[in-house]
Amino acid sequence: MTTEALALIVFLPLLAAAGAVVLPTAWLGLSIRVGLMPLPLLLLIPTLEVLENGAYRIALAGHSAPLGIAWQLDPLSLLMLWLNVGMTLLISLHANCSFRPGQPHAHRFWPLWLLLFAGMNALLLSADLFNIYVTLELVTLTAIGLIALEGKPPALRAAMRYLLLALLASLLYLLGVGLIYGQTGVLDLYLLAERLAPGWLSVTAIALMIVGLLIKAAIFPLHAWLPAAHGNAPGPVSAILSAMVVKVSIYLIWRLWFWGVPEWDLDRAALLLGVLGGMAIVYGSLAALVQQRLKLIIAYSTVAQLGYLLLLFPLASTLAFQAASYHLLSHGMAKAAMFLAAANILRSLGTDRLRHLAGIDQRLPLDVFALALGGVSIMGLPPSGGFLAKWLFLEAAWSARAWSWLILIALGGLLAAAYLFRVLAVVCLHPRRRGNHRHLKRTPDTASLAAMLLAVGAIIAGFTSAPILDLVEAGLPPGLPR
Amino acid sequence: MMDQLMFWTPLLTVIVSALTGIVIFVAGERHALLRIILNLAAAIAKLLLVVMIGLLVRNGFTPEFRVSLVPGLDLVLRADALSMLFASLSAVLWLVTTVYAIAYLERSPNRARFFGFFSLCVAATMGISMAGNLLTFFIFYELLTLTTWPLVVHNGTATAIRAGGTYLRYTLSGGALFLVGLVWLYGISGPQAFVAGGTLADHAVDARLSLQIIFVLLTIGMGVKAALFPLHGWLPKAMVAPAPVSALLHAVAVVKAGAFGLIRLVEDVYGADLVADLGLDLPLLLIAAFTILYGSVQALRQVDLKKRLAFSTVSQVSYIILGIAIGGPVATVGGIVHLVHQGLMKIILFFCAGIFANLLGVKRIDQLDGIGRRMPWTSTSFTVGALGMIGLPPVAGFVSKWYLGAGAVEAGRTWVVAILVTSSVLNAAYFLPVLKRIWLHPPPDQWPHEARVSRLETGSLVGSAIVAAVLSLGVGLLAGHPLSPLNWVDSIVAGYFP
Amino acid sequence: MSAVLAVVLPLTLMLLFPAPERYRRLAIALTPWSGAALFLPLLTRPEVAFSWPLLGVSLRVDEVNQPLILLTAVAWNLSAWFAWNTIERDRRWFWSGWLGALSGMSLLLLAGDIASFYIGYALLTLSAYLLITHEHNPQAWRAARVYLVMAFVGEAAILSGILLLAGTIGNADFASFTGHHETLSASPARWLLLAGFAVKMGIMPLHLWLPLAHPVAPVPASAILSGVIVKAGLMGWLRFVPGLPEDPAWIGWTLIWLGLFTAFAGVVIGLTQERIKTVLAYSTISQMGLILAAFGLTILLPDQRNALLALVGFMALHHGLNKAALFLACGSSLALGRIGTVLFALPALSLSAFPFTSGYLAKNALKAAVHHTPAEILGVVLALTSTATALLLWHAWQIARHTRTRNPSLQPSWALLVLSGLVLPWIWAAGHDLIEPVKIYMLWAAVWPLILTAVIVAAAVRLNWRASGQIPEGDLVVLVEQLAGHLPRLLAQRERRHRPHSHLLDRLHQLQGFFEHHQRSVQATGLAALLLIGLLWLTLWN
Repeated sequence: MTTEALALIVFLPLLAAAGAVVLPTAWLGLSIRVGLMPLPLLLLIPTLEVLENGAYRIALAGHSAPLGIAWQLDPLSLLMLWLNVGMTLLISLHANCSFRPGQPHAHRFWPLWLLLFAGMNALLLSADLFNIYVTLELVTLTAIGLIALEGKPPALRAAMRYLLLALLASLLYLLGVGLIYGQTGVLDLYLLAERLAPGWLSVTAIALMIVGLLIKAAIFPLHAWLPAAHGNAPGPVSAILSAMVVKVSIYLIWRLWFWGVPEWDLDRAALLLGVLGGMAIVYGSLAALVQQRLKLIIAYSTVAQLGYLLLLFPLASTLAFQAASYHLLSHGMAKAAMFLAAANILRSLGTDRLRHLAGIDQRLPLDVFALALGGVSIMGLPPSGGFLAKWLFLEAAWSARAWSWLILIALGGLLAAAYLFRVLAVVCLHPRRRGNHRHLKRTPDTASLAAMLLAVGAIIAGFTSAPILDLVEAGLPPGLPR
Repeated sequence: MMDQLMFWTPLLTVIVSALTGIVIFVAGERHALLRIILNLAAAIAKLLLVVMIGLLVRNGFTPEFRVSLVPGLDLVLRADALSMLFASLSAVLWLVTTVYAIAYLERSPNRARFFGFFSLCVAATMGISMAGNLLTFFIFYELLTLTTWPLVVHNGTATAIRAGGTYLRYTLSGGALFLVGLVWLYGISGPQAFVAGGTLADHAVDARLSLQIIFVLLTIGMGVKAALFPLHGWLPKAMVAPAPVSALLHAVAVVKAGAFGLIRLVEDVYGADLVADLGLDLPLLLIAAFTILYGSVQALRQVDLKKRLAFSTVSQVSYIILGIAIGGPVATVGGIVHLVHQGLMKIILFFCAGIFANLLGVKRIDQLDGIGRRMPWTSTSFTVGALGMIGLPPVAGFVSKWYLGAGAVEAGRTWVVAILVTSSVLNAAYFLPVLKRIWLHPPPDQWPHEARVSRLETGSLVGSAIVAAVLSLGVGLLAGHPLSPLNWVDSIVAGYFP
Repeated sequence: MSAVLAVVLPLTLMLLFPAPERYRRLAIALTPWSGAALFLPLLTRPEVAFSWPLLGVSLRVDEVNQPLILLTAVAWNLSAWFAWNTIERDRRWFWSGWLGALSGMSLLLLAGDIASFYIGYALLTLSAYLLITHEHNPQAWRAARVYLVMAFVGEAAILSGILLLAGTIGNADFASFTGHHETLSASPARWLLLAGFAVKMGIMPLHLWLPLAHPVAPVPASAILSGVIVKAGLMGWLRFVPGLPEDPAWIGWTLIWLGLFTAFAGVVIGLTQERIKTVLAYSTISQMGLILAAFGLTILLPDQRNALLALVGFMALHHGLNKAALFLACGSSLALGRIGTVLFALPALSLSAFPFTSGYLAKNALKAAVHHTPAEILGVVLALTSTATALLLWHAWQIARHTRTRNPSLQPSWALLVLSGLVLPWIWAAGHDLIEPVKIYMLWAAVWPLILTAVIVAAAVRLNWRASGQIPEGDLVVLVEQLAGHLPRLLAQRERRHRPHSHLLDRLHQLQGFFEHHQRSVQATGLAALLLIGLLWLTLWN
């Protein structure tokens, strides 16, 4: 039963994508519904299974490890799956407005969108390195397709740059996979721990894979592709890219780090990654502070926020794990909300340059509100998921007596406040000329509602953390200190 | 049934205002009448609710609402005597300010946004007053920052935006330090429920230095809002906000939140004894004393009426901190009761300053000449507030000053009396010339900018000011009455100094 | 109830003043008579206490405040009558101050506890400001400014003292003060209170405001300022700083010499003045010095304390009535011929201790008190004060003769006040056992100072003495004002240089190009990736 459900989770969107391509336009709506709607229900089945019995493993094609291709669902990947499904559904609500079947780009958007969805689900389930590579490639390529979808020159340029760097990243990752396979003869992530001894080859392999993933995760100083790509992509695409796609790469590094090579002496490398994270936080925030376009600000904010996820490595404790997961979750919702709101603003205003935003809150109150609520979570102000994540991070830093991280985290919130309030301040500024926004296009209510739902979700995450944190705790790698 | 009541009522006080705010947002700009009715109804409902809880607390109940955020980390709203003091102050002044604000903002744009955030701001204040532990306090404290910011920048001018920026720079930085201190404290001793006398005495030996640093961090975090020197910079700048906001910022919500937090910190988290033991009371006292003088001297230099009032706030709020820093029951009573007294008196002054500015365009002190003949009732209210600030009886300010001075002597810090007296003289030096202009100078031929307003509007504006004036005279004159804030505070402090 | 009425009635009337005309009619009708309520407590001698207003209020009439209440009731009502007939412009201004001051004065006189006293005192101080500024000419504003500054210096000292007391004994009842000897004598509060109240009394060198403020006020206001309101300070002393059994003699001596210095210095400066009201104001300073000396004696001679305290009250009554009468004379014009002369001369003679006047009674009693004590020498000095006072009042008379007032009229209130100045102290003295049997040497003791005065006056007229070099009104205040002139400059807000806000953000904006450049370069990212691989390799490799 669980196996079938999991298979459906991957293949249903895949089928729907195929259907979206093959079937006539009139059937597009149906394909979309089939590819998306049943997923939460389907996911319930493995959820119950995992909650009851712990990690669930499937050997595909009948072979068991080390030979076969395996899927594994543990609490952490379950959480990620839920996140992906929920987020994609909500964002699809928005996408359904901007890419309503019958509209210009809809017939290209939906297949790619569904493909991305399927790829993400598969990626999260995969337990073996090569399988991960394939799905990762699928995700990246569909993402690039989505960015370039509307064919605007800046978007095309951004997509091109993304493509180049993603190829480099894939190459590095694949090289690493190859080296590991040569060394151990297995590709299963969960078997590496016992088979992969630290040697110069395996070290090289791990380093290559991590850097490859870091490029895909757009971690400073490898973030060059992200702001342009996320800043120029269509709204729903920016949202899902920032909320889920980049983070999956970091999730994979976690996997590699804590499940793949837990026995290694990782302190110095962890420090390095932590420093990278810190630099990302500072650099991304400062860059966001000087941007003149709303979507670019949000994109740079993603660069900054991703840095927090790397702080898990030096802190390496249960608390830090909970913190990072929670941050992933709340940032995902908040960032998606912000991108959707920004997309609505861009759509009705025709521009997202800051100086044109003055007084916009009178015209698009719901979107501005969503933007602000998402901002609250990003800044880590209570009550919001972002605050709880920050609290957990601080607590973890305190427990480790890691004062510098503690200061960095506190400072990061302030920097985020600086660039976000810059936006809100402009919004509150009275327009110099009345009737500045007379020619606004109306945004569909559903589009605003989707943004609002996500934003409210990010806030509500500040109140109901216990089930999620318990889930994370259940899925921790072995041997992690409290 | 009773249990349910006990559980939900504290949350209800917060929800009432928060919901009002949200409904106002949703209703939007057009439904003015709905908004007015909703505002007033919610304010009255809140007042009744607070009175009800007050009665419960008086009869020995402690209603408590509790929900877990993170395992081991609870959001607790609990009504104890001290929280009821602050809650009733905000509930009363909210009602008054609502009436005032409705009239004040008549015909100005963006009213939905204003009143929405106004209500949210009050919800946050309620949360602060009912907070049952330091984390809850922090949550609502930050929420207050968030909800007051749109009010500060409400005018939408470049100056307002800059002022809002300054406000955020101060408060959010303070909040960050607060959070660090909070996490640290949590690491040392778990969640900090507010318990009279504090809960940290056990850690005084092994974590002495930590506790000291944490105290400093938390004090900075709260001191920003309480406008302790040198963290007061935002307050005068925030004067660009509309008058009801200034009134609320200065009299009730923001500065009081900081001061209230410091009371909680000193009395309910650390405990006055531990603070003294850690050697922290004297530095706090010195800062408060310096702020008192500094604010007064700065106020003397201002020519803008609202700026002068702002610096006066800087000075006056530190009385509260002075009171708790002195220690000893009498001074503590003086400090805590000043929370109420200052709120009542300051709100009059800001109401009046707003009326002068709104109806006659008078903003600078030298434009006030002879305004007493034009607006006798407003000017009388202003006079009451100003005299109270100086500490002249029978206005409430005198009672606070009396207790502070007596408490300082009782605690063996006689020099504080000199500070109090100097401050009184300085207060007189910057308020009496204003009063002189108001009453004794001949009025000009033409006022700067005379607005045409309806009688109802003028009535609401002036009426609110008069109500506030009557209240501050009342709590001063009836200080000895069993139901007065003074006696309420007396019973609170009795818990601190058994 | 009568005590409450005496306090609340004037205050209520005052608060009714901003009300529209039609509600005010009753208030206006009652205004001049509101002081009459003060007679009631004298008759009923109430003692009441309320727990709820402020920090608790108690009101009472006892031995200490009785003479002052009598003085206030008489002088205030008669002056009010006078004012009702003479004050024509800015009546609202004047009567607000008048009623406020009356309410404050009544409260401080009747107060039985610290806080109530202070409330009354503060109300009095502020309301008197309105009386002083009533003329609103530049002189009045200057005088009022000096008054207010000095009043607040005094108020500050008093507040400090009161707070210090409150810290140790709470809002104590005055009756319980004797139970706190040790606290009181050890505390600096005592000195602060002494100094603070001395400001109101015009004791040198804290008298600065008095010679400026008393003359600029309207005539009836001057009368109560000089006659009654200065006694508020005395009341403060009597209530707050009673002599204590263990007081060393030097305290007494200090006060006595300070008082006598004030008494003589006031006369000396007064003699150089050319305006009658200023001369009278200096006379007030001088007389208050005398009262201070008497107060000092109560400390120096503890065994005669009760008698001396009664005497101090008597002196206050005598001086208050007579000085008020003298001030009213300034407004009633002396061009009224013989009647005017008599009405001026009677209080003047009384103040100069002419035999069988109330002043004579007071001086006699004082001399009798110091007789056969370590302070015996004071007998002569006290006699000389009579000479001095007489000289000064002669000087006043000289000026008064040459002053023309516009509408000469004989105000009945003036005549009544002169009469009560003659009669009431006698009745009072009779009731309080202050009348000594007439002895010839005492009579002589009273007469020779006046003969001395006559001699000096004669000599002065013959030799055409004139005061060389005039001392400006308010003497020291001129110096202080010059010093204070620099203060506003220090306090004035300097123009801030306009500085661009937020340097940091500007710097960051310059970096924008950098961010954008970095964002474009794929190669740089590739290089960075290689570098990172190397770093990661190194850190992973042990």
